[in-house]
Amino acid sequence: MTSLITQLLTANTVAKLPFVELINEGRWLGARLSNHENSEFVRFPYEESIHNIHQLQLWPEPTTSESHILLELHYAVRPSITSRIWPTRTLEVELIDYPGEWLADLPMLNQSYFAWSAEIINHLSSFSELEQAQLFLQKLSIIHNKMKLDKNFKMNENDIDFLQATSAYKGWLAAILQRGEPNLLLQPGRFLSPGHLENTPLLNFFPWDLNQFPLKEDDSIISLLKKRYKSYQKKVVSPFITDFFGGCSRQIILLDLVNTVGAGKVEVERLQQLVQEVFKIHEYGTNNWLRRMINPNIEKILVASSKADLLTPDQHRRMQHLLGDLVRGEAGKISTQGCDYKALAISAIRATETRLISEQGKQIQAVCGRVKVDADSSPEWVTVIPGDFPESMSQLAVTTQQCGANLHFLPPENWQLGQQALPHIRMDQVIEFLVGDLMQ
Amino acid sequence: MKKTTLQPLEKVSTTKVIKGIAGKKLQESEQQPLKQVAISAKLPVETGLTAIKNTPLKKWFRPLFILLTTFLIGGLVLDRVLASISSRPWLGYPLALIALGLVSLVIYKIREIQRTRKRIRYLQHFKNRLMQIHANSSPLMQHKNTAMSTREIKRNFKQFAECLPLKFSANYPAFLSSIEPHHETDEIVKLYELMVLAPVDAAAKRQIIQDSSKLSGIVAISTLPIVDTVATFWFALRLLRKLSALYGYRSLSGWYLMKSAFNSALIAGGSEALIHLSTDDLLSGLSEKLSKRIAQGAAAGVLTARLGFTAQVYLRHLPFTEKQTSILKQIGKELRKQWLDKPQTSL
Repeated sequence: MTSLITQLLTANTVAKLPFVELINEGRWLGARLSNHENSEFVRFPYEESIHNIHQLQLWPEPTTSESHILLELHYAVRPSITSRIWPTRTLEVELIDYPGEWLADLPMLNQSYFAWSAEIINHLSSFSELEQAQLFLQKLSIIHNKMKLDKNFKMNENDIDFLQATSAYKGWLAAILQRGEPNLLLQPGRFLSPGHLENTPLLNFFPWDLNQFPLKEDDSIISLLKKRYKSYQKKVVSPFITDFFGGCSRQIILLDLVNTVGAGKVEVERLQQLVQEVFKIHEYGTNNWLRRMINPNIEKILVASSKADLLTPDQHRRMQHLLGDLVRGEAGKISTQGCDYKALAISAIRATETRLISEQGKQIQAVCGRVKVDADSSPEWVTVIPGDFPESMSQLAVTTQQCGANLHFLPPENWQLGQQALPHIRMDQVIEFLVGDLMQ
Repeated sequence: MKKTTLQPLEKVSTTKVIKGIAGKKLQESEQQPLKQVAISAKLPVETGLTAIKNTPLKKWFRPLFILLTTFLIGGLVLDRVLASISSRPWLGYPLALIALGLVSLVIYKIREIQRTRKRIRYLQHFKNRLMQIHANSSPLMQHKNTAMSTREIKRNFKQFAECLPLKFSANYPAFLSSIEPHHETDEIVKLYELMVLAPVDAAAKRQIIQDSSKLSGIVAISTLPIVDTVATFWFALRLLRKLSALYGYRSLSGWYLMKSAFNSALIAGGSEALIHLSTDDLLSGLSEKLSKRIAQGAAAGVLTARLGFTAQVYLRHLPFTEKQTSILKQIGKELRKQWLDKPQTSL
């Protein structure tokens, strides 16, 4: 988002956006950030993010809560009858930033509490050796024993054991996240990034392992957990869809394929399921003027894979084909409904450079970037030969080690805001695809 | 960890090289389609047409006929010229000079046409190859685009852009500087279309509409069929010449386009004759005469515009990838633009 705003703000000065037709035609007049004086939302910390990249050579802080920012794009319209009266126009674009973890909740909407519990427990079982996992199981065991000892025991949501079990589950999820495993299904996502719901009773529940701690459905703890789960579905997940995506006619689904492919085939398939869930919650197709005003369909969708700068340029097309393969069924369906679809390998900020290196007498492409080994050490240049990226689901290996995925390259060196273009990969195509046709 | 040597030009001091192989390498069977793309793209464009090409007799008939006719007419003319020179000897030198000049001019024109034909044939071949690559762009076949390398595409674009009029070729350096290492072949093609070709297309459209609307006026006003025929033919040839110049070609020698121009001229003349007949016989009123004239002018204009758009498709450096709107819609849009632009240009 920081890159998108910077590219738009510097579009008529230094930014390199050759695919934006408006700029090629000389109709782009400029962009500016709108004032947020009367806004009820938290403003996206754009200036802080830019300061981090520009001055401190650090990436922006990960998003932990919802924030908004409003951009005004000024442009000259193409000659028409109305252009005689209004030769210039302004397109207001509201950008909403939210933690990506919240998206992980979408599959929960169509799942019952038991189905969700079984799936999440099975999914997290590979992290059961963690200390936090043991603590959580211990808390479940305490509750289970209590229920066994006293059949009429009524567990309520303020019970200390219930609260402690919730807290232990949250701790377990946080510990998995901290390990940096590219695990996609850390549910509920709000437990990791609660936003304004922090410490609210809505976030007080946890999955129950019925295999390990068998209980009846009418036991008070199960009834309580089911009730809390339904509240979470109704008051957190559903409003998230309607508030964030309602009224949108353009959609971008940003995926981290480099890390996911690195984690293996199972993770890619899980990502595919998640993307399928995202496709299910929206309506796709064309809009007439009335529909556009009341409840628009998504008429353009861009599926983008980020971190393309970790691959050499000759691998980008392979990445795009894998993306296409990932959403093949859904893309076919929405295309028949008239929705415009595109898959792109992008990098919002290009942190690496492509170099030709000689390896056993052959010239091969490699990516080269700066890495800090320790927090105190000075950055050093590292060259990575990423290898072949799988271009279809059938080519995915069970466990694949994507080289460079675990390296954290630093932002571009010596970049000066307003004096140099912020290096990117295909951000101009993203802008053109999403808003190009709105500025005719 | 393994140290490798960087290219001499690269000034980055690399301290570490990490070599990793990610996904599995392609099997030979999976690489097969790529080879097919490369082979199919190298085939001559006319491959599909060779089967139905002329038989040897037909092939030789036309040049033989032209040669014999030229000899016959040339012999007759030469005989008459020699006869007149023998009776009036002072005419010899001026006539010889004029003949020499004419022959030089004809040779020069023929060579120019041949050169343009060669270039246009190459352009069609290039466009066909692009179309083939575009058609074969299924996920597993496109990824390396071996059929046409980036270097080859750039070389072709350089050749095309160098021939463009100066105000359009000036966009070429900007196009070159906007190419990034991560741009794929199709992205470079799109960039050329956006940055270099789009202004030429706009100018060509303007030219087509301008000429066809002028012709509509002339055909509507004139009452003589011969004027309509000559004006239509002349305007069509003029338009073709201008369009050729816009896209960087000296002359246009497309037989199909010439035939279309000739047909348009005949239709314009024929319609004029028809109007004469109908108005004389039926003694129609003034409004009917006027509407007929307007319709006749519009028809001539549309036919010329159609010819112009066909020539544009023929001369354009890249195939039209997006669906084109109908000619009438395009004409309407361009006319509206022109009317709206006029006050701005006069200011």
